[in-house]
Amino acid sequence: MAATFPFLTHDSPLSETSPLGPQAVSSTALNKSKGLLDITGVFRGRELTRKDRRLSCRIAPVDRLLGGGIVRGRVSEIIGPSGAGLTSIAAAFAASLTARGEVAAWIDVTGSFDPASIQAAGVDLARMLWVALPADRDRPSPFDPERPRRAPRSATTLALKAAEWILAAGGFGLIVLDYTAMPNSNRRMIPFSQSAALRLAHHTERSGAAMLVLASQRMCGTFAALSLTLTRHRACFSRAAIDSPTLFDGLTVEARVARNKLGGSGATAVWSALADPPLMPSQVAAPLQSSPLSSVTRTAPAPRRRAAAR
Amino acid sequence: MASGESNGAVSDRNQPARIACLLVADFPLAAVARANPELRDRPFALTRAPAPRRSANGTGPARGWAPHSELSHVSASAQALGVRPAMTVAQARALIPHLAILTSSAAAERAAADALLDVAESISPIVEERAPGCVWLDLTGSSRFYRPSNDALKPEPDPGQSIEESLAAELMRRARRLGLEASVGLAAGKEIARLAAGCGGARVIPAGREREFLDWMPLDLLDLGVNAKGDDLELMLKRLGFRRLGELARLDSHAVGSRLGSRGAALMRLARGEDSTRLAMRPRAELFTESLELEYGIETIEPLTFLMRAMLTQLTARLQMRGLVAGDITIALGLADRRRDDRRVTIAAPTLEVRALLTLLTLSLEAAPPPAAVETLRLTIEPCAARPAQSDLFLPPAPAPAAVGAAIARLAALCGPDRVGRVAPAETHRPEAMRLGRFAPPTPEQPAASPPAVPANPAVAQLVMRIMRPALAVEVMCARETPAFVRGANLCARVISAAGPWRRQGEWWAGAHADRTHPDGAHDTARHGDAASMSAAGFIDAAAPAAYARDYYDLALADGGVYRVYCDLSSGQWFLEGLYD
Repeated sequence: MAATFPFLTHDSPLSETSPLGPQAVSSTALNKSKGLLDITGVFRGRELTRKDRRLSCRIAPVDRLLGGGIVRGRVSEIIGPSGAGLTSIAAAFAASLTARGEVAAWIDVTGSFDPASIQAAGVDLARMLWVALPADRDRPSPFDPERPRRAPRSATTLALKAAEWILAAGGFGLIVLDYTAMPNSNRRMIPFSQSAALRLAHHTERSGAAMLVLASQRMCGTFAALSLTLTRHRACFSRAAIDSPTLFDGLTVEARVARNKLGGSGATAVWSALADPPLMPSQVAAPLQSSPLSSVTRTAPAPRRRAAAR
Repeated sequence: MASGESNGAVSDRNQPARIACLLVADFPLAAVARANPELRDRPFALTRAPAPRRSANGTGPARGWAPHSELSHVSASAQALGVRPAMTVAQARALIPHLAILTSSAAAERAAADALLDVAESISPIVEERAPGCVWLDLTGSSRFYRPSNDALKPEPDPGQSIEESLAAELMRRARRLGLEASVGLAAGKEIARLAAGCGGARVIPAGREREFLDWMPLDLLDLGVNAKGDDLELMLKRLGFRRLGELARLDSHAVGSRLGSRGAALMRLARGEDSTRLAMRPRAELFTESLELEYGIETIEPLTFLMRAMLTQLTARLQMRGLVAGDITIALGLADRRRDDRRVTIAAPTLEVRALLTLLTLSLEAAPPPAAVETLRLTIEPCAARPAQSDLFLPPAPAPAAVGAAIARLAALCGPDRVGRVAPAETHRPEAMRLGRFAPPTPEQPAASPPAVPANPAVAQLVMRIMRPALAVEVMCARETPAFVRGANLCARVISAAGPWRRQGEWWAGAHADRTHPDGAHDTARHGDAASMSAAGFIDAAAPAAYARDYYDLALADGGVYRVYCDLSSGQWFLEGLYD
């Protein structure tokens, strides 16, 4: 079928919606329904549901849950308490994007970005712009030192301003607005106002980038196309034997679609975020970069031995 | 291009020489009107001698005029209302109360003259400047390759004259684009072309019909001046009954030379069309400059931004005319306290977008405002060759370097320069160390430096950690040498599960501080758990102690989080380093 009609791929909405499967779609039916597709596409937002307009995270349960990934040009929220896997799933989206050669931006509101673990998650840091917001914004206006000091801007204002500038620059495939609360942060995470959320959604739509907001509560209200709630199921610790040291394996996380403008609200999926996930066989043999000045002394077994012990 | 000379009379291939003259009448008026576009709609005049005056804030001298100052130049709209040059300001104001009086500006005239040269050089490489506001350019042979832009698809017109008229009209259009109303004359010689341009509009003298034009030329338009004896040449000729140049051409040249001197002989040769003076080429400009002298000192940056926008618009139009783009910009500010403030703004991605350039200039001024009022402003742009690039249809989109450069400059002004860029793990085993470099993403077709790790199980992702900066000092209560309870700011929970300890120690061989500089300018920086070691202004603290020795634990607390906690072996203090998320 694909050889006869090269424009009909397995990603075509027609092949997905045919009750008899892709093989049952004939060329006549395709020609007849071509005009219908154009019309139905308008009503169903076909441009948005096309798979090449979606950004997957390569975590199979989550991608299935989201129908292929988050939608570009829309605001998506990932909501959950700190430690529920928000950063891991955002890093998975960023890794998927940078692996395609696209560029991402990470707006770090709490200043807790860890480049080592983000890089370990597969993100090409050369293709990621990092922006950390200052702790406070109470400095005099540079235009006139005699003027009274400006009122400090809130983190929300700064983050939105930074996001708008990055979106206006264009060319970014993903922008992560990281509002995840940290124990050492005293900032109050206030949801965006209606006008601010509308402006953010408008800028996102115009730029065509996927906007991912990580927060402990819903920030964009009705202007978010997707709200994915993460809940930590359990933290997994293990030991190979009674006398062997305990190891932290990772987290098991449940993801639930709290709101999806494209359908599928209420569905759930369970996935795992592991500290040392077993890699593809071709990558296990890859040499690990190590410094000759390394002096790390770990009483715990090395990662590969830990995997074998499990 | 090296300096040289070109034969203005006959070219190498025996083609008849064609010289164009680009002339701006009342050049000081035109230069001031170009620098102040709001004057185009109102009558204005220039005073002859500026009187020294104090600036508005009284800190320095400013340029100005007095009621008895004489007018040197009067705009056409003011002349229509009766104001003439040599009137005093008071007399002119009696006729037109709202007449704008300004002083002539050498900086504005130089900028306008440069703009006129750019117009000429956008058409021909052989250009000579006679005086500010008068430029010659060699158009010999240009009719063979020039096509009017609106008729690009039509075949070449038969007569070369129409092509020359199009060239002259194009020169006027380009000058108008740079804010100058110029007239163009095109003829076989320099002086004939200048005379043709002095007639106004675009006037083309066809080859071989120069005598016809010169015979008609009135002596009033020649601006003859005085001869060696100091006699007014035009007055002498009129007393002899000459009114037009053609009448002079019929006289004996020796007799004219003996009576009127060398200037009379030159006038005689011009009247006969014997104009064979050469065109002296000039080196092309390597810098593009616009200057402005302000009537009053400007003490805030906002009005300065408006002025810089107008200047950048002019500069980018000049660059565009030459097929160049803007590189680094130098801002030279003359201050009211007689000091100068020169600063250089690096343009990461050369561009012609005025908005992006203006943003970078404004951010530079914001970062370090000038210490006194600004009285003169000069912008100098180093041009770069445009590098047009076509995006690949089958590759993902990449951000435009100019747009990214402007966005990063804005973000650096918003958050601080040490908070924007490309981060990477530092070359150290200290977990919290990172280095910050300049963000310059590779093109989409360039592969990643290291291939991303792909988990074997598609339902599994790599767990990511969030690092607390600075590490949070906590109190840990242990039972059987294992952490059992953690208490700190915003945290108070029982330990459910614990993994560890494992020890990290290193950099004891280094000095007191660990701060490495990489060839690309990035810095390795290390942070220590001590909150006091973090500077208040900077996000990254390069002065942290280097040596470290820690025992790490992974603790699952009763609040549901899994934290990484370490005990600093040198002080015995516990710190919360991060959170698995």
